[in-house]
Amino acid sequence: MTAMQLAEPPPPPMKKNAWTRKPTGKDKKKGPKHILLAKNERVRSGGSLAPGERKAHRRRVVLTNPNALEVPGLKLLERDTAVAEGARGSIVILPDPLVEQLRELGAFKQTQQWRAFRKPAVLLTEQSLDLGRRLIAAEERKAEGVVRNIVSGDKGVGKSVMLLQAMAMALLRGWVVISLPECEWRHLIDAID
Amino acid sequence: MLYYQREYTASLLAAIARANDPVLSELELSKQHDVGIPLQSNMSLRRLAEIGGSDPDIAWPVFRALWDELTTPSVEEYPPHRRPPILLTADGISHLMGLSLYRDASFELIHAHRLALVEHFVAYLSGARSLPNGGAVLGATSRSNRLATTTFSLALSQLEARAAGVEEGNVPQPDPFERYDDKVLEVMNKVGGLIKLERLSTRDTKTLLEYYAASGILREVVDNNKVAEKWAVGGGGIIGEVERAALIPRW
Repeated sequence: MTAMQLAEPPPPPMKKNAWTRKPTGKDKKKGPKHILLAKNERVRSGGSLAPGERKAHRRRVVLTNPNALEVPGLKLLERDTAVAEGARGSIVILPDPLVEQLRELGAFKQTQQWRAFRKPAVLLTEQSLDLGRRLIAAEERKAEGVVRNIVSGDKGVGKSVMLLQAMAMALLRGWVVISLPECEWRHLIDAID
Repeated sequence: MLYYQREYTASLLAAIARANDPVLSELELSKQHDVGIPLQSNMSLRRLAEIGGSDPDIAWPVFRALWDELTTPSVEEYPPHRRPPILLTADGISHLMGLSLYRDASFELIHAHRLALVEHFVAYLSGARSLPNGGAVLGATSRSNRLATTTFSLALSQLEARAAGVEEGNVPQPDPFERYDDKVLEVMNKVGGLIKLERLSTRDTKTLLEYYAASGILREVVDNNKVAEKWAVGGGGIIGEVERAALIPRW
């Protein structure tokens, strides 16, 4: 037997992956066939949330559904839609910058079905156009012509959306809109997020 | 004595700044205001609202200053001092017409109208204060989340009866055995009118259902039978119920 035959084959290169670690001083006692495992630390996903993040997530309103189809032939809500021909009974899409402004005002509610559609749109009924025309008239009449109304009706008949339409038309006409979107005391308090 | 809500006013101002950015960033201060911190004399109203939004301690003075600016008569010749009309809205006003959940130093519930922001809204709704540059004040009731206070329910039913043209003899009268809230009655009597929302006609329901079908959400053929069905299931054209009848099975 020669010296060459007695020599051990070189140890296989150690595989490196996420579960292994580099050898430390103590590992000299272990042979080359032992795999050195890293400490099994449980990875906690999610991490800590910033104050208010959980609440914002809970209160988020989804306004678009990418799976819904774009409906062709619908007009956008415009500055003068309330006095336009043929607006009565039509569906109008809210322009994107307007949607962002309305979102800040809290005009969209979670209980409404905005998330079913590609883009938020509203149906212009006779009453919404009438309100629109009265808003336009109020611009001219200034202090004497201030519209002061309470919007009421059955449950689900569209009172909050009527406010949304009023806000949309006012914003398009360059008004300043200030809204208290939820007057329930749970929301109308000094809540610190 | 009015009570201020620092945090709520701050978040309201922040929302006003963001939502009204296109208009407010073009307008500048036209007066001096004492809000507790120095203000640049040609600051934009957007910046003013933002400052109030980020600091609850000065939120109420800033709100007052902003409101003062917005209700200064408009100067058409100088664009930064033009003042547009204002729309004030509140959703769920039944909660504002009665007691709040706040308590005072004697642990008595504070009436909603003694909170500064609520008092402000209600003053403009009743016309006690007017908007010099014009505008509108709208308050919506909420039926699904409703605080049925005696006074507000009575006042609302009276408004509804009068709007429907009922004769004065048949309008609901106060119950002599109940105590009513004078502050609320005063506001409700001076409201400019009621918009009682109507249910949809079958024609409008058809337009709506065709829109749902064109969006790919409603997978049924929209013919007259289907329209009649959804209209009837929706309580005779209540739009929220028609929406649920047509959309909810998908979700």
